[in-house]
Amino acid sequence: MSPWAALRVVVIGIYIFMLGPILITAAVSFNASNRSQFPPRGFSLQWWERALSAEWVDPLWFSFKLGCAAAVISTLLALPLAFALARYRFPGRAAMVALTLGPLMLPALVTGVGLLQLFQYAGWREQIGFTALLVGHVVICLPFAVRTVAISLHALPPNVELAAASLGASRARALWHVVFPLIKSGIVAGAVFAFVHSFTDVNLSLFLVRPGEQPITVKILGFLEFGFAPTLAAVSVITLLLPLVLVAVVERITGLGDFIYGERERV
Amino acid sequence: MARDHGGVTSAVPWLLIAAPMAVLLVFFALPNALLLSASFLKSESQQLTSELTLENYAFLFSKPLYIWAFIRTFIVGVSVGVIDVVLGYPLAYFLVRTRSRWKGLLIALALAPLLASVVVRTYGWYIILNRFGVANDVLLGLGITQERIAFMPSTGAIVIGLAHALLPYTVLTIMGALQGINPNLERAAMSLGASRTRTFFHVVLPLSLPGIAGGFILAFSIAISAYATPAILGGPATQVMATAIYGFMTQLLDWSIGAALAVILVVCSMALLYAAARMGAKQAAL
Amino acid sequence: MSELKLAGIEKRYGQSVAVAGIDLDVRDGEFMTLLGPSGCGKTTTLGLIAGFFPPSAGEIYVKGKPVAGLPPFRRDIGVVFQDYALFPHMTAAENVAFGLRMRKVSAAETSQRVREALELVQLSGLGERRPLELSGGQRQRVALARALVIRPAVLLLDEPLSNLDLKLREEMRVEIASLQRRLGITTVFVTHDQGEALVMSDRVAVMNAGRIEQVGTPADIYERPATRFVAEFIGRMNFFGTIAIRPERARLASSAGDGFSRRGTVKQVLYLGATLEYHLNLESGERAIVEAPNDAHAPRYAAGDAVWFTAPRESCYELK
Repeated sequence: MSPWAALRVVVIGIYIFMLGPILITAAVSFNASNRSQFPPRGFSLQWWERALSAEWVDPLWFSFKLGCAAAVISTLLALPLAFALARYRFPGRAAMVALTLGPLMLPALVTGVGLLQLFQYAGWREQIGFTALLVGHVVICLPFAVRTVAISLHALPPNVELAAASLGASRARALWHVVFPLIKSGIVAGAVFAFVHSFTDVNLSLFLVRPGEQPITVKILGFLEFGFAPTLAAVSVITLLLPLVLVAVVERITGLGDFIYGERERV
Repeated sequence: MARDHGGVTSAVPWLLIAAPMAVLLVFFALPNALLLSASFLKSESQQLTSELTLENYAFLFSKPLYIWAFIRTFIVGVSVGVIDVVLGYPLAYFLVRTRSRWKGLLIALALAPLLASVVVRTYGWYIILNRFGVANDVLLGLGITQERIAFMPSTGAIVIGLAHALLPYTVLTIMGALQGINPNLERAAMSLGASRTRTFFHVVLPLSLPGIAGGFILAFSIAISAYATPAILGGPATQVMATAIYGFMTQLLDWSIGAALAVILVVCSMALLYAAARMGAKQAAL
Repeated sequence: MSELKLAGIEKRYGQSVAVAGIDLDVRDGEFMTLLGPSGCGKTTTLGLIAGFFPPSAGEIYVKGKPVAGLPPFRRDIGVVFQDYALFPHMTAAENVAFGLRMRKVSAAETSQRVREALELVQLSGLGERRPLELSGGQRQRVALARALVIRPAVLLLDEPLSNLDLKLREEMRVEIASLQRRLGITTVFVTHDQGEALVMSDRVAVMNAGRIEQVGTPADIYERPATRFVAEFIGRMNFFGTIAIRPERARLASSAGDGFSRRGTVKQVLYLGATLEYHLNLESGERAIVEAPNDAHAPRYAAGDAVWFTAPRESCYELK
């Protein structure tokens, strides 16, 4: 067997490992019985019915709202920040870069714990819940948005703004008519990554919840204490489908491929 | 004062970063500073006092339960790193070199699991590994075992769950490294008499070593701060640092010790990231 | 028997044709250049000879043996790439030794031959440096040494001089050509630079749009171009229907001479230091260029002068 053919076999095995658990979860959600049997015996939509009940839809909707808010706010904050870091040299720039990338480098768990402590000791106990979660999510999503906008800025043809200026455009008009359209895909990508990061977060959210105000991830986690339930399988599939559809749609419209290797770009 | 690339001093950058900087300082730097200070403060009946002390750290390093938590966290991190590099490399190499027209789809498929929360992906392993789960069903059905094995809670289950969850990260990192290798290098090796396999071992593998190290470190650093997977697939007897922190903060309500644990976790993460940054610099130089 | 033979070689990528049917014979020890503009298929042809990809049709013979199905590591070739493709994680000496290691040559013989090869390209003593620590010209020599040390039947060079600056390029041209003559290795050299082709080659194959338009010695190509494309691509040419006259073979005169003559006016004079270039508008409506040496004794003309464009019969070449 040629080396490449052997590699293909290995790769198939790896894909099975990677996608297996997800597919099994999806299959199990259609189980007729209350067991995690695979292959599932019988077919039933009862768990899906339960997954779409208020008990699960509420946290799902909560996560969605939270994600949208976090994405919008992080992107709004990221724009000026990315501009400043990408375009200007100023004392303390390196420190600012470190501060911006900080939430990415430090475990979200620690940031969550720290925020809980802050809110408690600052007397903001009432805000623990949506507000605290929003704050925490914005902090951990900000680096993603900054990174993609910075990548877009770096990818701009270097003299484009000078060309606009030489043709009579003021700084503001050059920004609006020339720069902004060119970095649009970076902004959108940043917002999408921020949304997904917020929607899937659990480590930070864990510490900032209150009854009635918890993201879907924390709710699922809590439910697992009670053992298995096929409803959870259905809910899990829904929480995967949502970001999947979002990413697929955005990919079609503006494309996200350029930003995936973001790791190697420095702000 | 600040300068923009026109050489003109300006206050513009400061204005631009004012709002984001305020947010990051108040809601990121400040909480972490609070944690750091709390770790050096004594706690009495679940309240922080203002007495400086090192007893929080001393406590953690004296109790076998927590020492084991450190060790277990480290073992999990290393195992996950190794497994993910071993599995991630072939996949990354395939995705970078394949000329199939499904290349884009295959890459998307490899990265798609990242869109599901860790909780969801770990849940899949819960379904597979629990006593009445898929793994046991299959083993019993095939006659390999006579009774149900408790695969979880266990450190091994945690390793499998985390290795599965973090695999896309190593794949991405190694793919990045492989893409940076000049394709003419492989042609040069072949023109000099090296077969495809020998070209791989003599040229591609050595040049992708920084990528392998980077992938390992990335998986390791995320694994050591993971909460959900150890919580779901592990139990009270298989604590890791993250679950211990959770315990201290929300159940035992001992902020000081919890903070100390968090600080230790942060120090380890930062050390790893520093190592990764050095790796990255080395790769760039190649 | 030819050392390298291409018979009916074609390469298609989907609908586009990179190489549309090439027949070529390269003799033992010959320096053959594939010359043409970018996109003409010369690099693709080299890649086919090396075995980096299979031909869509046709056969390749090295020393009489068909090799089209063989991968590069089973062909007796050495390649020098445009970007040199030196292994960055190995020293220069290790790079040069690579091919010998693959052929399981003994350590003693390897180090001996590596030393000789580095000497040959005048890099003795730099063996322990890494590619990063070498200049462009030095890297190119290492690439050359690496390909030569394995004593291939055919040496393939893909525009190896294009990344060097002018002075170095001219130096290396001569060095590579004399090295090749000394070693007598059959060589195929790809370039778009006609200066290189004329200076270095025994024979030149001029390529255009995937086909060979003419194969011949540099003098053949220059003085007896087979097609209009070849005539235009090498140097510059004045065309009058099917008659072609090189600018340096024509002269300006105050009266018609025997041979080819046309009346015209000087439109522009370009001063090039060693030569003067006269751009003429001829009565017949055509444009013409005359290149004259910047000779103190020769008559000078200025823009606006009425002149005769003349060329002796021997300098007129009839295109077929």
